[in-house]
Amino acid sequence: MTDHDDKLHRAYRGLGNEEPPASLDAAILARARERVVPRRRPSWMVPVSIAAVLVLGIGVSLRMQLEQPGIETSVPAPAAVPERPAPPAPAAPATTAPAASEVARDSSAPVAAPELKRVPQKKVDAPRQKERFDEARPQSNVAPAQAPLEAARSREEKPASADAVSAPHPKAQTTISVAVEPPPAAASPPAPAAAPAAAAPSLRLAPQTMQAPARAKREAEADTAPGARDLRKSLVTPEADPVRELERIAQLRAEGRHAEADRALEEFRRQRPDYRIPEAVWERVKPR
Amino acid sequence: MPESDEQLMLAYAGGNAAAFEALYSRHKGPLFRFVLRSVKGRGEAEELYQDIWMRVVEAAGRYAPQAKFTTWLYTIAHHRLVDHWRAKGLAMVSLDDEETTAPEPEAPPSAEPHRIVEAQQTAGRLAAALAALPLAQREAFLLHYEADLTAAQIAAATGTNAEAAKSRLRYAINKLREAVDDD
Repeated sequence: MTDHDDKLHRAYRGLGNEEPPASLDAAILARARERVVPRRRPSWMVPVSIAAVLVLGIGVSLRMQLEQPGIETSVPAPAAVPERPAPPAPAAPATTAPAASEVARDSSAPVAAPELKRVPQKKVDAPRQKERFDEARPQSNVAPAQAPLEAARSREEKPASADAVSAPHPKAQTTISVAVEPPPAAASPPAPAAAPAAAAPSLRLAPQTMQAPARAKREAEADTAPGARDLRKSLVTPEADPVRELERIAQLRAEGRHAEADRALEEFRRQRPDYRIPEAVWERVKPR
Repeated sequence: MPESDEQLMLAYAGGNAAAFEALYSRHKGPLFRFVLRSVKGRGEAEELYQDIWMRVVEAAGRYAPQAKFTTWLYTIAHHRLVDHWRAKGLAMVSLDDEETTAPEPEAPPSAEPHRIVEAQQTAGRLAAALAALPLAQREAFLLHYEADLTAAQIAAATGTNAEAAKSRLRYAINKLREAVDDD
């Protein structure tokens, strides 16, 4: 028995000790070295970084989208109004400069535009009421002191928008009417750019006043925005389940998309070299 | 102190390229011969051989030393070969074709001409008999003779049970012995 084994062994060794060619060795070792370099950084970092950037980007843009229109006027919140103290109108003149700088700090847009946008937001956004009041108060200080006549004219010119917002409470009306009119500094000749900016809010106010339900819907959809949904979907890939992945490849075959199926099968094999594909499944996914 | 295959593979997964080179030099010969004697042509064998190593490289991050490295390596090789055979519809194992493409045996070191001729004849018969073996038996034989795997390890690498692996190996050895003794 042992003699037979020895003979077989000798004969087998007699077949030769073939080795792979040196060029093949070099190619394999080079590829192996290439793979080592990126491994120094954990492989999950890149996709996670991309995902984080996307999430932040989408979040910021959604946030901006929600805040920029700035007007929620479906129902004036009467309960919220009393919390707002009456604008200290007579004490105004000295506060003109701080008002302008505060508003400018709050927004990168031209001075007149943010003022006009922000004042109406106070009416529905109760948690931010106090903060916005702080912004609005100096505005109300500015207007009566500098352009009472223009303010009055502005009210007359835009009754639909401004009155709709400010009707419920006389104090609020004061605030709105004062804020909606363009600040005198911006409307004066040395600042020509302020003119179109001042005109814009009145145009914006009316549609937004009517679009409150749409706005609420948009906010509700923010959590399920397509981008966010795609992102979530991509984090739970179907490829995590080999059976489903094979099903997908089989589906591609069935649809005649053989090139894609070949690529997918190749990728599958690369990712799961140990996975044994059942015969029945193999019949459906094998290269045609 | 030489490191085990498993340690080298883990070192490579941790970013040590030199560990892979050591591992590669240990296993390149047996793996290459295993593949070469499992398929028909050298070009095909080289392509498959490279592919197997690439799979090893790509799977390095997921490697867990639950089994012997050699078993893991030849499991990958087995799967690659199975894919290859399947893609060829298994027609490539036709017994008629195999004999013509059997590897050319090399002469063992022997000074006497008649011994050289005899050895060549024996090697030729063995090569032909090996090529004529059913795929599973040939694979079991090569895994045993080239990779030095036991029947249990062959079973693990080829996804069968130990009894079947033993049986395949026994049948293969018996047939090859007949070929070698046939002088």
